[in-house]
Amino acid sequence: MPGPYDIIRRQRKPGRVPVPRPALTIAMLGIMLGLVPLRTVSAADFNAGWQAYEQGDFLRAFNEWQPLAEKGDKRAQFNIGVMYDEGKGLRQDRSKAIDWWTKAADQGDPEAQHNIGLAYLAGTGVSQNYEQAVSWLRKAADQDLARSQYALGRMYDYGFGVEKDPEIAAQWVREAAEAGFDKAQYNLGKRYRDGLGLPKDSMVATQWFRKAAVQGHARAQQHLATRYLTGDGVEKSPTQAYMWYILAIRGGNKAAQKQKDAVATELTPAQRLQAEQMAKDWRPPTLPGKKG
Amino acid sequence: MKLLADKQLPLAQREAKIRRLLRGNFDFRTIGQFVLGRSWRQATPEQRADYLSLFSEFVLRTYARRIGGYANDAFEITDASPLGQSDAIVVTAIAQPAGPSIRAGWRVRNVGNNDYKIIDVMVEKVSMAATQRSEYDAIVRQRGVDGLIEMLRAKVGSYSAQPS
Repeated sequence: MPGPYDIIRRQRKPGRVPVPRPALTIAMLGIMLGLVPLRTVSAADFNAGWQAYEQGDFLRAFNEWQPLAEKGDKRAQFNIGVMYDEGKGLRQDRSKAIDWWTKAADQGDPEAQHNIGLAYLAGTGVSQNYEQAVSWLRKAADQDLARSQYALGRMYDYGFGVEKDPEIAAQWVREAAEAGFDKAQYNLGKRYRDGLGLPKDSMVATQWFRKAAVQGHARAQQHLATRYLTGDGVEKSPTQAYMWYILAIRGGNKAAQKQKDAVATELTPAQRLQAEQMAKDWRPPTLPGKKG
Repeated sequence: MKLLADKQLPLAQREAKIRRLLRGNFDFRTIGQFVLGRSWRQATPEQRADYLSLFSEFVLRTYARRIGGYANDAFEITDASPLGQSDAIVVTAIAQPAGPSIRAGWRVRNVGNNDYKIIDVMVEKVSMAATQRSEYDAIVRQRGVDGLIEMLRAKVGSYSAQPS
């Protein structure tokens, strides 16, 4: 069992007096007035842990979550696993992360199943094993976790831990893309462009590139820009191309720089200004599906 | 480096801000190509693109998590010295309330127009790029370039702590 020596003490400054947390005080008042059933106390512990975690006070987060995790709370087990995995406030210990995630995963926690699957894929904290990776990712994918569906699809693409099958790969990637996962949307765009595991369709390819681009996926933005330039699956528009190249560069896609400079010569100064303004005003929407 | 101390922002947002801040300062193409070693030439254009994008994501994620966690601490530049013709080493320290400060050396290169980009990070005098190069070489030998790409995909695809 981890003791306090496991914690790297870095947040507590000497002489600081603990200040009562308003959320907790209100909860206590509620209990005293009989408004709140007592069992919400344990929920408050989890939330207090989350609040501390968000502020970078990992020692307090650990102290709030650890007793809950020992009692079998799968959310606390998952988060403690993350703290060990990332070395957040604790000495990084990936096999301890796997131990905690396994407890949560056995209770059906999909994020824990996903992370264990990836640990087997990368060989972090466990011996690298593609079959185990597939088996854990499938459990999470069956629970509709988009990132796992996408990861599982890629396993079918490469033939890692399963027999190579572009069609099954395309089915899993589609599930994740339809749930709003940007990487899956980008990948599905490429599949429709190349006919990988599904019939080629240039129009549909552009639609999926657009969905990922709108979420801020830099490579999808670059692809969409190029399609506006060539008129592939979309009506030609150098102004739109120019705007999407600007956004792709802003997102870290350096390859788009040359392409942007090339388009610039095709535009009038007014069109260029318009595209620059459009790029400036552009904001990625906060979509619930983005997290996958 | 004000945002490091901005505890009002949720941790994930703090990390995302640091990622954006760092993104423009790394020369990922130079680092990524060096780290992949001789496999770079054998890789297809599609593999190179996949690899570079996942490698940058992995590096940004790693450093954003390291730095983003130090909500209470001071991050300061303690030293800078030239290295060879076009490089320099910038030494930073993250002071901790208890224990010695965490030091890192950032090797930067003049990429023209007096613009410097990070090409390596030294921790305890060990080059991260050199360490990764030998690690990646072993993976490519065993599982091919696709295996390395999948390994990176796994490393950037995990879920972090959940609010509920």
